[in-house]
Amino acid sequence: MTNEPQEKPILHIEGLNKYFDDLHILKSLTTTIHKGEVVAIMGPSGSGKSTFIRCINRIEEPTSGQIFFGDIEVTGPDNNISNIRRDIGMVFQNFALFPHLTALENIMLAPTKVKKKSKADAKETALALLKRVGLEDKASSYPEQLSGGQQQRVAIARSLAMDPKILLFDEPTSALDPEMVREVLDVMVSLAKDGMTMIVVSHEINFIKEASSRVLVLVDGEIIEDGPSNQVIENPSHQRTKEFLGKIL
Amino acid sequence: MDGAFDIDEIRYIFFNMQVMEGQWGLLFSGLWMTVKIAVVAIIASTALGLLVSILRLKGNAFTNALLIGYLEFCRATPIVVALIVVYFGLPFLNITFSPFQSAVIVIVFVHAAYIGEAFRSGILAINIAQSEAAQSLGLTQLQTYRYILVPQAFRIVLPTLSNQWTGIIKDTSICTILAITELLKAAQIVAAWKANPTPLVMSTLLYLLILIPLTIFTMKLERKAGLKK
Ligand SMILES: Nc1ncnc2c1ncn2[C@@H]1O[C@H](COP(=O)(O)OP(=O)(O)OP(=O)(O)O)[C@@H](O)[C@H]1O
Ligand SMILES: [Mg+2]
Repeated sequence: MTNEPQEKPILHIEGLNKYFDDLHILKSLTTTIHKGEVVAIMGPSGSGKSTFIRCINRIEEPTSGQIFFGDIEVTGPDNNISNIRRDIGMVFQNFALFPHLTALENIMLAPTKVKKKSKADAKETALALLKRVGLEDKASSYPEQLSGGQQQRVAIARSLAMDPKILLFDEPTSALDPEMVREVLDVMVSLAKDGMTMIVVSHEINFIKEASSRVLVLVDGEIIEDGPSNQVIENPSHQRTKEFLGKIL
Repeated sequence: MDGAFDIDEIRYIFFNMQVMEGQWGLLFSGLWMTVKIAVVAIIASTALGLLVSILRLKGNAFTNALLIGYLEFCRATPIVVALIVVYFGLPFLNITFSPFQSAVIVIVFVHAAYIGEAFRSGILAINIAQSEAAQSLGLTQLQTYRYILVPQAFRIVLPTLSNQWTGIIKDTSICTILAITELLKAAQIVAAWKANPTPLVMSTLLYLLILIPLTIFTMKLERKAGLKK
């Protein structure tokens, strides 16, 4: 690997295990992610991709192991997890916008309530973000008045409003009708080009080729492949990866 | 016997405006007392109900057992009995409340149990993804309740809530057993004094003066909530 050794990784995961009852879902995962990397996570259904990404901000509680976010140990018992989560954005498969708030209010909520920004400040940022995701005319729409693709773009803007150091995506386009996938991927590609650090669970091969620098393949709770996107996709080292890629390509 | 169904006789007995002459003042002051009890009780029982629901959702086995006991107690006890215990019973422990306080305490105590159950099921009906999204943005649990779960639960339970609020207004009539002249008591006083039930009939119409605006208010809320769903 060609990591500059002087730069501290943005995320370091060491021996992460997750059990659901007796089921061993994540098996001692260890990996390191640096600033500006766009890491795609692929793998068959049930392999633990969602569980893995949800453990990073402890929406899912890891059973054991350590997660370091910069200098902070996310898994440290004395850390205030809410404070840590401010800097780790998350985008969900089903958008999870707040249905009782407008698009603008969805984006302004956390900056005003969590970061105690002024309403005026937060509104200015929120409008700029809506513009960035191409929805400046939807500020006062409620989620149910938006298409899936539009909702997901608002959800991305909502995460960006907290100015996160890293963004986690769990299959952000898999709940969308095919004609809406592109508009969401375009936003993600532009974020990647701007240098945003991202971990993206996705099987969108075009996005991976276009925007991601690295692919992890997760099978049965283990990372069986970790390398540059081209190499993993064109020339995987594992038979399981070949089978799996054969199905989705 | 045609006399029993004579329209004039019915009017004389139940809609006798002569009986009401000079008595409206007492009825309206009774109405005002009913409104005061109801407004305080509605606000307090809704707030307490919300607290109960969150305690139920976040509590441990001990608080849960306690709160289930509380709910079952309210289900099993006639509200008049509860009022008698508070107003006539507690003074034996040197705990004394005014009639107004006793009425409010009992109504709030009983209705908060039901409202708490309603809020609990409302919050449980909200997709877990809503909490996860809120917490992934850095909201604390308390903030998640305050800004995400409770506002959505309100919209879900509004029809139930509106029933409870109506029930509270009706339950203010238990005050007739106390030295407190709310609407029904005022009507009873006049009816006894005039030996004619017309004031009681008029009091039912005056209850509508409160219930109709309340219904309009909750319908407006529901329409607004529907828009924001
Ligand atoms: N809350 C839970 N309780 C019990 N088992 C769970 C829970 N969440 C996930 N699992 C199990 O953990 C395993 C991994 O699930 P996970 O959702 O992480 O897989 P995934 O790779 O994201 O799959 P998909 O591609 O279908 O989204 C699955 O076998 C799933 O059934
Ligand atoms: Mg998943």
